[in-house]
Amino acid sequence: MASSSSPQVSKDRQFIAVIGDEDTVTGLLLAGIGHVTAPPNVTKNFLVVDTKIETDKIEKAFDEFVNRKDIGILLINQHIAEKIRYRVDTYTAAFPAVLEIPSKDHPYDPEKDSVLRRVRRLFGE
Amino acid sequence: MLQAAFLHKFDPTSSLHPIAGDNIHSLPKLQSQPSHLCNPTEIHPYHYHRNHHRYEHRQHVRSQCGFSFSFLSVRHPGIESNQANRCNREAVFATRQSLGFIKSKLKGAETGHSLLKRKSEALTKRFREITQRIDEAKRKMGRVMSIAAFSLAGVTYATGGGSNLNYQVQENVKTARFRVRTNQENVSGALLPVFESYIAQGNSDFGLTGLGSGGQQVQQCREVYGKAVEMLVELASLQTAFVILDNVIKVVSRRVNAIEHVIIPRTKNTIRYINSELDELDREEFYRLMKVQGKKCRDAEEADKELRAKMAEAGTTAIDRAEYGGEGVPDILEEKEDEDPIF
Repeated sequence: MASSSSPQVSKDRQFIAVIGDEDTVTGLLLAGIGHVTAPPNVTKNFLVVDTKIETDKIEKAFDEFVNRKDIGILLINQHIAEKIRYRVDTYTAAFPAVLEIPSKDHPYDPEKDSVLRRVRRLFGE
Repeated sequence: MLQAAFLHKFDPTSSLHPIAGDNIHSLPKLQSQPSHLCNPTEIHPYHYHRNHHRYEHRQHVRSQCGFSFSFLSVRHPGIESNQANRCNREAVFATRQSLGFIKSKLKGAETGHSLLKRKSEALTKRFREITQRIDEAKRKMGRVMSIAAFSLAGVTYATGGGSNLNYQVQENVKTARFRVRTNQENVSGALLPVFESYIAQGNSDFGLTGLGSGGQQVQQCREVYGKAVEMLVELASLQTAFVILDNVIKVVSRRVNAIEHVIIPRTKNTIRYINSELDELDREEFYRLMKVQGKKCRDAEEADKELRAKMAEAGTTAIDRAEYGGEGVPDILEEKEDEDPIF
């Protein structure tokens, strides 16, 4: 069972990653979740998505955050998750937990959330 | 009944002659066999009647091949025709030992089934709780995040120029102040992670942010976002628990179903098979004993006849000696009064 072995792996997952628009990322960084490693190979745990960024770049960042061993929670704006919906929906692992959050311009829509849709499906609604 | 006739005829008490004594002595051994083997009409009436035709069939077979203890076992027609039944059992030899083993296995399977069922129920209960809480938390998150966004808008206004603030914040990030810790919660054997947020000491990034203007708003915004992130962390742990519980429940219910629909029927089928085979062996053994007794009975009769013939020849001289010899062996059965002893 993958789930029983994951808690040991999750011991060193202590960061929260975020993929979001500028305001969301700024707000979360103000809260203090941002982590940037020392200069030689700089890796950030956040990605600012503006209108110019390509979808495959978002997808690459998503894959990278999901595969990093030190991230426990991945926050992603719902309207951005919408762009890589197939990746988010096929992601079923427990760690890191992918959480869709609303942004300033896009209010939260429970119908689009991948987890909430699974909840709905399980209860036959 | 043939068997009854055999047994009656071969009553050891009816045989009084010394030569037949050998046979008499060997009889109790035979009869010390389990009684159900000797007396089918009492212990196995059902089997006997049901399978009567089979005995006849066997008798026929055996009369042809003598006393070969052939394993020409005639199976129950129901079992033979039902191919699925034969396939759906474990490969065991039909012995009492394996019957005991299989029975204990069945018991274990039943215990395990009830335990797993209870586990599955407990997990499902927890699962429903969690889904309900996720639903609530997600809606709450929508509200909290909009409040946080509003607070950030206030900061942008106060500091004057959003891009400047955004740039400043993103460039000043060094190490995470807000981190998560993972604890484990045990829900009937399934380990659920619980994220717990904590603030690492000694890091004060953004010390200079909003120094020029809007410092208070920045502080307030940090607090609001801090609360929002705490809530998000809580939601994340609920969601992770949801995903893990989902997997675990799937595995457990698969096990429950496997035990209920595969293992238990197969074990029961195996027990039925072993029982039928053992019954078959019992009947075979009974039949063998019956034949042995029949043979002994015939031998005894022959010996009896021989003895009678000898006695008939030698009888007259013996009787003559008894009558005319006078002082022979005193006959205690004769009606002669004893003399009273005098003390």
